[in-house]
Amino acid sequence: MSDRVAVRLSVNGVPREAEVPARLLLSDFLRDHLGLTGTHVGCEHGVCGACTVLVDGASARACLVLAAQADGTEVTTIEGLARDGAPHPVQRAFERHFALQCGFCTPGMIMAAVELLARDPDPSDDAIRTALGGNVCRCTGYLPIVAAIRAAAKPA
Amino acid sequence: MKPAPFVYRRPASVREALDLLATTPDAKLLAGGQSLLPLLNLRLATPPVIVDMGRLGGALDEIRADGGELVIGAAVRTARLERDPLVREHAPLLAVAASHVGHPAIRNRGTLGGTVAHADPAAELPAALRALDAGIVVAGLGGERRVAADEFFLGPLTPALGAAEMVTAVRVPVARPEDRFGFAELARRAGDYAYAGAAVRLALAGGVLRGVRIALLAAGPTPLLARVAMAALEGQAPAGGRLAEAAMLAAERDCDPAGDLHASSQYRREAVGLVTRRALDEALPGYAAGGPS
Amino acid sequence: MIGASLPRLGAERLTSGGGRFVADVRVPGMLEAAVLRSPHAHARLVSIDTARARALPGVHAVLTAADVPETAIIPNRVPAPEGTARYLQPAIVRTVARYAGEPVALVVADDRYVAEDALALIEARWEPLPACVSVAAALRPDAPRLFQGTDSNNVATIRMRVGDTDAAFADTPLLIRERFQYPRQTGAALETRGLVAVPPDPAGGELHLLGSTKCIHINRAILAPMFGIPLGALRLTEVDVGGGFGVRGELYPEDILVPLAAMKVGRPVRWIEDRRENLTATNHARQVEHEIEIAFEADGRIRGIRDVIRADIGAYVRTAALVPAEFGAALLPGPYRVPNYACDLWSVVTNKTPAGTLRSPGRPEANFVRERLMDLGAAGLGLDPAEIRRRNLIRPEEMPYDCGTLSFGATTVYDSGDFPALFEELLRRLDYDAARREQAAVRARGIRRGLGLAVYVEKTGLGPFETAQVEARPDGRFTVDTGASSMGPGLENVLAQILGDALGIEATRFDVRHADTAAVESGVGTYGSRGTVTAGNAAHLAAAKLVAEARTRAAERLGVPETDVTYAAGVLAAGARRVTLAELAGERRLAAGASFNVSKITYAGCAVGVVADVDPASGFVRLRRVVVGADVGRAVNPALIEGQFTGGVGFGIGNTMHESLEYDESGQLLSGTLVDYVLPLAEDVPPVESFYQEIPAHTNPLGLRGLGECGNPGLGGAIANAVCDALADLGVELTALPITPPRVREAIRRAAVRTRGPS
Repeated sequence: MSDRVAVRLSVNGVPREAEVPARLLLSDFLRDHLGLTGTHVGCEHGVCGACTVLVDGASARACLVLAAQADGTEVTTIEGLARDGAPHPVQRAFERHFALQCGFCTPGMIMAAVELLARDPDPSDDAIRTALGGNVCRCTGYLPIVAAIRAAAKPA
Repeated sequence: MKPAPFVYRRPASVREALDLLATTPDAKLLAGGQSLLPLLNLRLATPPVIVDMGRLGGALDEIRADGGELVIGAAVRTARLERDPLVREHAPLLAVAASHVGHPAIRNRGTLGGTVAHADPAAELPAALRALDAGIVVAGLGGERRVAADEFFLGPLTPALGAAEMVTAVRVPVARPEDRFGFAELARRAGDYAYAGAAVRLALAGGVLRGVRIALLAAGPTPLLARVAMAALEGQAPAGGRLAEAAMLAAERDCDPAGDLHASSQYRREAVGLVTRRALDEALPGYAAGGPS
Repeated sequence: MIGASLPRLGAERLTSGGGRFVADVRVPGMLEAAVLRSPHAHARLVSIDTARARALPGVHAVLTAADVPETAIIPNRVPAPEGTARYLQPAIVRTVARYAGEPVALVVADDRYVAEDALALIEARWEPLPACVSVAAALRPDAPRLFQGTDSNNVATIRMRVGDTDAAFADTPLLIRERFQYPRQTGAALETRGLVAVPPDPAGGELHLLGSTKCIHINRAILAPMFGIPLGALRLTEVDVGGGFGVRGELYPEDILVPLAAMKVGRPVRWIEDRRENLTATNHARQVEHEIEIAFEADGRIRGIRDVIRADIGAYVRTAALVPAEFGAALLPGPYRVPNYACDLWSVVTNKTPAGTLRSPGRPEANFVRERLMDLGAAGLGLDPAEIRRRNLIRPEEMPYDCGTLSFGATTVYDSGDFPALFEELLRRLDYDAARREQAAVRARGIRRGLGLAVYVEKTGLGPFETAQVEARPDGRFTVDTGASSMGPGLENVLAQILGDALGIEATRFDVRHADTAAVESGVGTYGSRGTVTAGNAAHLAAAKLVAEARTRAAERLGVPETDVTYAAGVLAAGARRVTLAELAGERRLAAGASFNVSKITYAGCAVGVVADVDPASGFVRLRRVVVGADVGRAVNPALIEGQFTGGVGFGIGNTMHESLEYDESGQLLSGTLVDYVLPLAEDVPPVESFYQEIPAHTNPLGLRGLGECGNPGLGGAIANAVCDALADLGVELTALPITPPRVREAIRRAAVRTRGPS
C-alpha cells in the first residue's frame, strides 16, 4: 500500500535522485532526506508560509507539494540563495533591518521576498504587504520585514 | 499531519488518466494540490489512489483563442491567468478574479481545472466563470462533453463530474467591445476567504444594459447567479438608483448564505449587497450606484 | 555599549537556514512519536486496545496509562488556594478525559507518517459524559462536576479588597455598570512545540532532553523525581526557539510521555507537535468575563471599582493556570488612583483545553475593561478621554505607590515612574489636538475616524532570581551562560552589551549560549518580561566578579599588590606591566558566575494611542497609526526596544482584531486550524511609532525595566476605544473582542435598536 516513487530533481543546483514514499511531502523530503532543515514547517496546511521554497523559480509551499510532484523540477531553498559565499541581498537586508526575532518564519519570508523582487524590482510598501499575505510572523509586527524588503529592492 | 498512505499514479495522457479513473474506484485526481494537500495532511481525505494530472501536458497547458471563445487548459495555473496577455485581453474578469485567489505561492501552484472540479462555493474562479457564462469541457472515456458553468456546480464541493471524468478545459466567450466587467470581494485581508464576492459581466450598448450576469461567491452552496438582480437591470439604463437597487435585490432575494464561525448569515447577506454594488460600480464607472450624479 | 543599537547577534545564521530548532535536531537511531488524543470533551475511557497498532510494521511501542507512573501529574507551580490539587492534570488519561485533545496514548514509530497510521489503529472505547463548555454551564447548580470529590467547578474565589467600595458607590455622581468578555486565545508561535528525548546509555549517563525552554531548571526539578532519577542524571538543553509567548516551555504531558517512551524503547524519540495539536494541546489563555462597575466623582476622578471576574481556565489547573486572572485582577486599577476596589475572582474549570500564561498574562483583559470604562466615564461626564485620564494618573511624587492589591502574596507597589509625563509624550506624538481637529474635518467628508487611548502598567522582572556566568577564553572571546532562555527578542544582544559595557569589550566577542542545565547549575528562566532585568543584572554582577578574580590573579602573576592593578578593556595593568584576560584564561580557567535575586517586582508605565477609520456599512476597521511608549528604566539596545514594541503591537492587533478559539456545544474546538484561528498579517499592521522613557527602576542595580510585554496589552482597549469613538454618534458600544467586521456590524445594529427604543 505504501507506494514508492522515484524522483529526480535539482535542489539548489545539485542533482538529486531518490526513491521516496508516494505520500512524502516535499517539505519532509528536503528536511529529512536531504538534511536541508532551513525550510521550516509551521502549519502543514498552507497558511503560515514558513516552508516556502521556489519550484522552478516560483514560490510554493513545500507542505502542499508531494515530493513526487517535484520530480523534474528545480527547487531552491534558503540554503541555496547565497552566491559565491555572499548572502543574497534580501538575506543581508533582513539582518540589517532587524527583520527577524525568533527566526522561524525568516526562511519562508525571504523566499517569498526573493520571488516578489524577481517579478517586481521596485514594489510599493502595499505591494510588499500584499505579497507577504501568505507568510505569518508572530514576533516582529512585520514592519521591519517590509523595510528590509524595500531596502533590498533599492540597495543604497 | 501527514497524509495516509496512497498509491500514486502519474499518467502521461488524458486517455491513460481516464482509464485509471475508470478502473480504480475512489481514485482522486491531483491537480495543483492547493486544496487537496491540506485535506490529505489533515487526513480529512484518505483516497487509496492519487492520480497526478501533472504530466498530462499538451492541450491542458494551453491558452488559445478559438472562434469566439478563449480556450484555457485545465492545468493552467492561477498565477498565469493573472498575467497571460490573451486572458487579460479576452477574459479580463478571469484575470482579475485570479488575482484575488489566496496568496502568491497558492496561485503559483493552483490550477483552473483544479478549482473548477473542487467546486468550492467560496472560490473566485468558479464564480467568474458563471458570470462569463463559460463552458466547462469534461472528458470521459466516451469522449468530451461541454457543460455550461450554470449546470456544473451542483452543491458544495460537488461538481457535475462522473467518477471517470475530468475537467480538461474551460471555454470562455471572448470579450466584446461593449462588454463591461466588475469583480469585488469583501475579505478581512487580501487572500482570506471572502465574506462574499461578486463577479459581474454586462454589455452597455445604446445606453442600456444587456446580457447582465452577476455571480456571487460565498453566498450559498454553489457559486450563485443573482437572477432577480440581473432581471432588474436587463434592458435598463444604468442610471439612477438601479444599481443600488439591484445590489439590494441580490442580497435580499438572490442568496441565502449560511452563517459560520466567521460571520453570521445576516452579515454575509449584507456583504453580498456591498460586493454586488462595488462590482457593478467597477463595471460601470461613472454611474455611481448610489444614485444619479 | 549599553544604549547602542547594535545589530542582532547571530542573525546571519537564521537568515541562511542555519538555525537549529528542535525539529532540526538529528540523533542517530532517532524514532518519532505521535500522540493519540481524546476525541471527546468529556468521556470515560472504558478500554484501550493497542494490539493492532503495535503490529503495524515500523511501530516500536505504544504507551498508555499503564506505562506511566501515577505520580506523573502536572504540578501547579505558583502558590494556590487550598484544594487546588484536586484539579491537576495527569500526564495521560487514566479513567476520564476532560477535554478534546487530552493525551490517551503515544506511538513510537520509524517516522511520523507511520506513527500517525498507528494512531488510527488504536481502539479506544469511550463512554461520553455531559460536557461543560462555558463558565455559565459549569456554574449551573446541576452542572456535571469535572472532578469527583469536588463540590464545585469553581476552583477558588480570590477576593481583593481595597478601601470601602460600599461607601464609594453610595451617592456617586456617575455609576457605570457593564459586562465585558475577552476571548480565548493562544500563543500560536510559528514553531510548534517539540522535544527530542535521548535515553541514558545502558553503560550509564544522563537522560537528555533537547528542545526544552522557558524554565528548564524548574522543569528538571519537576521531571527528575517522576522518572525516578537524580537531578544530575537529567539534562535539559534549549536549542533555537521559534517564539515563546508564555505558552511554550510550561510543563506539558508530552514532556513526561516522550522521555518515558524513549526510555521504554531505549532509543532517542522525537515528538514534533503539529499545528492541529498545537491549537488543542498547548495552553489556551485569556478567556474571562467581567461584571464590573465603576464610580466617578463629578470631576472625573475614580471613586471606586467593583468587579467580579470569572476566568475559564479549561479542564485542569496546569502549571500557571491561576496566574493570568490573578495578575490581571491585581493590576486592574492600572496607572490610576483607585482608592476603593473590590474584586472577586473565580477560576472555573470547563471541558476545554487548559489555560495558562500568554504574553502579558491577565493584563490585556484588564486593560480592555478598564480603558473602555474610562472612555465611558468621559462620555458620561462630558470630558475628553485624554482629560479624564490626566485627572486620574498616579503622579510621580506619589511613588512608590501601593495599589493595595496582592497577587500570590506579593503587594502591587510601583517603585518609581512618571505616568503623566509618559502620557503627555504619547499625546504629543499623536499630536492629539490636531488629530481631534482632523477627525472633525474628515467626518465632514463622510469618513468616520476614531481616536483611542489606553494607559496601563506592566509587571516586569519577575522573581525569584536569575544566574549568569561568564568565562574568559584564551582566544580573547567570552562564553556566557544563563538560566534565562532565549526565545527570539535578542537576549544574546542584551547580555553581550551589558557585559561589554561592564568589561569594556565589544559585544561581538561574547558568545551567549542557549540555556542548558549542564552549563549552569541553577537558573529560573524567561517569562514575565524578566530576561533583561534578571539575567542582565546577574551578568553585570558576574562581570564585576570576573574582574575581581582576574585582578587577584594578575597581581600574583605581576608580583604587585592587588590595589596596584588597574582594569580596562580586557587588560590588567600595573604600571607598564600588563596581562590580558585571555592570557590569564590560558593559564587556567577564568570564569565567574553571579545570581541576581529579585526582591521586588519592577513595574513599567505604558501608553498607547490608536487612530482608526471605520466603515459602518461593512464594519471594517482600518488602523491608520499606532503610537506606543513605555518606561524602560534604561535602554540597553534601542533598536531591539523598537522591535519589541512593533512586535508587541502586531501581537496586540491580532489579539484585538482576529484571534478567538471557539468551541461548539459538545466541546469540539472549531478554530482548529490557522484558517479558523486567524493570525495577524503584514496588512494588519499600520505605521507604528514607539518611544521610551528612562526612569531608572529602584529595584535593580542597572535600573532596568522589562519590555517584552509592554507593546501588546494596551491594544484591545485602545482599538476598542477608537472604534467606539468613530461610531460615537451611533451609540456603539463594544464589550467583547475580537473586533471583527461582523461584530462591529452587530454592535451598530444593537445600538440602533437601543437608541430607537422599544417599538
